[in-house]
Amino acid sequence: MTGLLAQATTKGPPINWEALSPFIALVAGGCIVLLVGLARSAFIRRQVVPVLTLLTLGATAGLGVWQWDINEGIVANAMVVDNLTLALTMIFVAGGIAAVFLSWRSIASAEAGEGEYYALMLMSILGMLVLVAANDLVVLFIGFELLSIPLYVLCATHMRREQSLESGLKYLIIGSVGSATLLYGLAMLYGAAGGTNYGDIAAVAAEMADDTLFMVGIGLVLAGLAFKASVAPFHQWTPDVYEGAPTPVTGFMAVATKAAAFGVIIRLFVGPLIDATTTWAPAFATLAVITIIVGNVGALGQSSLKRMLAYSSVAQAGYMIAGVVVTTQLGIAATVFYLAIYVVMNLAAFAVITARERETGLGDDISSLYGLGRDRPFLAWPMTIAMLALAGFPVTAGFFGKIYLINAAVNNGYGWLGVVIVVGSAISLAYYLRVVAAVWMREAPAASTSLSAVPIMAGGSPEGDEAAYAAGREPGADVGRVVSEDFGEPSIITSGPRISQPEVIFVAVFCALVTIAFGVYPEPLMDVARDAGEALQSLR
Amino acid sequence: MAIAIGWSAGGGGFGVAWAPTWDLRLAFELDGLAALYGVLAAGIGTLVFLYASAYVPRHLAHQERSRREEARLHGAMVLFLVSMLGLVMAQDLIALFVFWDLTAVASWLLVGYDRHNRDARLSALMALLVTAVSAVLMLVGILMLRAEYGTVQLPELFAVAQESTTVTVAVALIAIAALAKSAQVPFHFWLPRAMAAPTPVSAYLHSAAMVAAGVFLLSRIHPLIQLDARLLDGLIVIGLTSMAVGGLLALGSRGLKRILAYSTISQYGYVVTMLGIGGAAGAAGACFYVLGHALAKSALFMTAGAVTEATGAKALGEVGGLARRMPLLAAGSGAAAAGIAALPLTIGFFKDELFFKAALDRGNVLGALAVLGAALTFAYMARFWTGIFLGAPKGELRPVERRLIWPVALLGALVVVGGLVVGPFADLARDAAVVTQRGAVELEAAYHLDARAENLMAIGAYALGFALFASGRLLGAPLSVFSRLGHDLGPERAYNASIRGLNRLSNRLHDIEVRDLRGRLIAVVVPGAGLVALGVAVTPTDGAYRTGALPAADVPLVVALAVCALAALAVPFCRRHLLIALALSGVGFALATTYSLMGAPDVALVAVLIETIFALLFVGVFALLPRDVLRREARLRAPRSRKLRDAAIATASGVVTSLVVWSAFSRPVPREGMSDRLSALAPEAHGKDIVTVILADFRGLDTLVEITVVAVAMIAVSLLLRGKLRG
Repeated sequence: MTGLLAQATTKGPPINWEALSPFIALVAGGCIVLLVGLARSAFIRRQVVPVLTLLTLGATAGLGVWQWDINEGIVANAMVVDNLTLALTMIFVAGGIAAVFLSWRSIASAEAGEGEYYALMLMSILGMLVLVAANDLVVLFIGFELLSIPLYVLCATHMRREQSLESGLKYLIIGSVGSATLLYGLAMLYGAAGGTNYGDIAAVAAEMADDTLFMVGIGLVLAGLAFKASVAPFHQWTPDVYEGAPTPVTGFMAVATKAAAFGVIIRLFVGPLIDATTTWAPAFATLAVITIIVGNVGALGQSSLKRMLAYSSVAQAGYMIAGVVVTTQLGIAATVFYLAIYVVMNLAAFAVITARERETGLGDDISSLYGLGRDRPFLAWPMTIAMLALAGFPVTAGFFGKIYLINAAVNNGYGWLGVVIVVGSAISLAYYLRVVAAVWMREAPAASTSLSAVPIMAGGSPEGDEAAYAAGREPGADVGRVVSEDFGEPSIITSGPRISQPEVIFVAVFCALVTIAFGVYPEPLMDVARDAGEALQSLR
Repeated sequence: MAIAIGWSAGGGGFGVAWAPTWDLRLAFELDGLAALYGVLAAGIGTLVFLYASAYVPRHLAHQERSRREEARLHGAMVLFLVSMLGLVMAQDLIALFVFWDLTAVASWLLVGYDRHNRDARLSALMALLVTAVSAVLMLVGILMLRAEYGTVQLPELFAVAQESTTVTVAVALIAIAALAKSAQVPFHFWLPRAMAAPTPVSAYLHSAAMVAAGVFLLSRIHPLIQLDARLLDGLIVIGLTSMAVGGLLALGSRGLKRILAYSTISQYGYVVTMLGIGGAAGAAGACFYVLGHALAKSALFMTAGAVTEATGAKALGEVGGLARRMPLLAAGSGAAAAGIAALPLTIGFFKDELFFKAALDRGNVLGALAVLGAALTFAYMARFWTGIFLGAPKGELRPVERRLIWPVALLGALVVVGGLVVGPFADLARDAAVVTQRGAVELEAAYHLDARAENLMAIGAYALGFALFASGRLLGAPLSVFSRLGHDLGPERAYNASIRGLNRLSNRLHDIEVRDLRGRLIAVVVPGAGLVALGVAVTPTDGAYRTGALPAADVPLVVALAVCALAALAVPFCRRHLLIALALSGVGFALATTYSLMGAPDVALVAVLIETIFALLFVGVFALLPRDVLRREARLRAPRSRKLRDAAIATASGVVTSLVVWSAFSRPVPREGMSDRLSALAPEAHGKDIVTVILADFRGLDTLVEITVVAVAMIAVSLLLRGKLRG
């Protein structure tokens, strides 16, 4: 018996717990957050749960740093933890932390229940992690769904707002079609390659490059993943979902999902499918052109900031494809670099939008930013920096991101794609600068708009909300009154009442500072990106 | 001042590693070229700051704006000054680009300073778009150079660059950005519009700094431009065109600042022409020209501002006879105007001498064109100055601060001093030209009282210019036609049209995209199907579609498939809901039969179960729905076009799917599948077959999960029951 046991232990598959630790941290954190969220005390739900979420994310990031430079397949080679996975993990965690700060006082988390809200967010991050670590088609799909399903729910968490529900439903339905497309494609790849592990696929990719089944599989997988990455023409859910979802969720979705989608695209296409590059690269490059044009042109006419950022995210996805199709380490490094700065640029903008949504009642309309430059430097500067960075102006990290990508494109025979990127960013100036102009060159709207303002925020104080719940009322329904009592007569307010939301302003200012810091001295981030690019050793 | 001292001390430079991954260095060097442009930017900048400290409060008071906003202008000006200094000293093309764009941003803030004014905002945007969009072309050029030679350090590039198509294209892209910044035709239209800026901004940006940055860049990369003669010729053509267009428009317009803006276009046309002529003469002439022009032009801009402040007039004809009433201003701006018009005893005389000399080196045609250009300059400068200061006095005169006057006088004095003691100025320009030329340059500026060609050309230009000036009234009509033509057909129209076109396209896209859910699903499915069809289409057909024999054992399979196809075909022809549901489940059951025949009884069982459930569900739902609604719905007829469309889509997808399946069946089975490998592992796990092993492996986990599910369900039920009992 003992002999058998001993034999069993030696025969048991080795499990690299260290490499698995970031995943375990997220799972455990998610469970704890869910359980603690059941507590009756409002303090625990409102304050302790987000702190626990932050701790979980911090632990994940810490474990990721600890595991830096390992390069191993784990769980019977179904997943790979290498610098690419870990670099992307940092991006997800950054997006998650910012989302927690932005959600701290949001009505969405209060309505959905804090425990559930934050646990869903953690699970979604776990899904992203699984997705980019996947080294097997089945794991890929599990990660894909684990990422998507919590997001469908998160989009609808602002339950009493019609658009939020609509956005969740739309995302669910269209997202399911995307998932189905992906699954269909994965099945075909499996059928063609005879195995689900990336290694099996890589082994046959070269000889299968002109096989119908394999090609159709690639096509469908491309469509499914393009859907997640908001690559035109699969992007049409993006503006609606971005606009309808609660802004913290939109911010999270915009940055983290994008990074996850590009992570898996890199893993799969520049990994096992590298020998079939001639098959997919032209299609992908064509999609990049369509995406850049559609995203930039679409953003021009939007007055809703979130819709504008949605189209801008489409355009940015198009830029990042350039880093993928060149299939070089430089290209991967450029994409990872861009993803990282994409996170900070966008989060700064979303933080400002969140702050103004709560203050003005104008929602995410561009007019909510009028007059910001004079009255609110801590919101005006982050927004300006974010927009200039997205437009790729120097002294912001966006500049280096863009030249990194263009450089990668020019260096590997995709010069024309570089030109398309340039044309696209030329068009993009028009709408990014419109926002900057709204901040600095417009006067705040007349008092009448803020008179009717109903800030979208879960009450001025937790007690107020509790009272509202107790009375069977919706918290926030009477917030306009509460706020106006707190902040003086609304009639003298020119640009919306100030609400104490230091954590939102912190996110905005911090992200803006990071954007500037990497714009002045990009070296550390370039190092990380290069390490991530070198994780794919098969590349040049 | 520090720059002048630094330059006279022989320059110097420093460099720090910036992004070693990219081999970027923040390398700065105060060479002759940097000294020239740096002295201009800092020196004129200082005077403009003084001028602005008097001008801006008045400007704000006119518009009833708060004094607090003054800081914003000064802040942006300082930003501009710093980035301009960084720009001129940068030795790394990426660093240079960074400062280049920063000047554009600062200029955007400055031109759009009157933010309540829509025109100012649009003008600022136009200036930014033209310069920043062309700047991205420059970035592509820089990256092309980097891809070719692996460096963006200018000294290294100069050392290794050879003539090649890549280099020519890259340098051309950089040159386009430079020309757009210097407001050369066809990018000149932003400059007159930018006159919406407050006057100090124009006096600084549009005479000595922003527009000068363009020709600075051309001078900086001149060693690369020289590699290809076509680029040099292109510069000459653009320079001459700008000279002519700017001169004619200046002669034809009335607005004080507009005249000066057109004059700037024309004057930088001279510089671009000289850079195109190249060689020692061209380089020396260009550098000296920039110096002479910047001093005089900023004085003239400040004059325009002072006149507008004193009289309220903004155009010629609204003002006159100011010479008596503002003598110091008249003298200062007279000297400056004489400088631009290249009269003797001003620094301007030498700039034209050098220009004529360089032009003559390239042939007589160019010489003649140069004289024509100089004549135009003389004419519009004469018109500008006499229009303001001579003639009958008009209008009220308000007192203005002396700080609005004496910067003009000081610059005017400098222009005259430069005409008398040309030495230091010539030295500054020569050192700059040495950098441009990368070789020794002779710059000889002195008066020669003899009948050499340059002197004759200058006299010819004065005479012709005076004739043009005297016949001003006659020229009015054709000039206004020219200006209207330029407005209607020129590049500004193209700019506006492209902006409008983009907006329309954006609206179109919005209309296409914002539709119902069905439209969105189509948007996912159709491109996905397109990708699949593409995959099928590009597959080589050779051996991909094979037909084998049909053994007797397969006959039931064929029958089942035929039933499946027939049932599917029946679906679109059914009108009653129940029939549709039944036909659909017929498809499902036929498929289930196929699965079972193919040796997958488990899949078949699941399929039968699901089909049964769904068939029952459909029947149940239809039973619950009101009969008349169902009947009415069934009677609705789809429009013919939609039927055709649906039929086409269905046929196409059917064909593509069949092709995919056909080709999938035609290909050989993979050598070794995952299942084979797993089965082979079974003995190692002490199991007889793989199913046993999997069951044994997962038994424990399975039980754990079952227990968890049951426990959670029990907790939930007990909670519900408690609530129920309590409630």
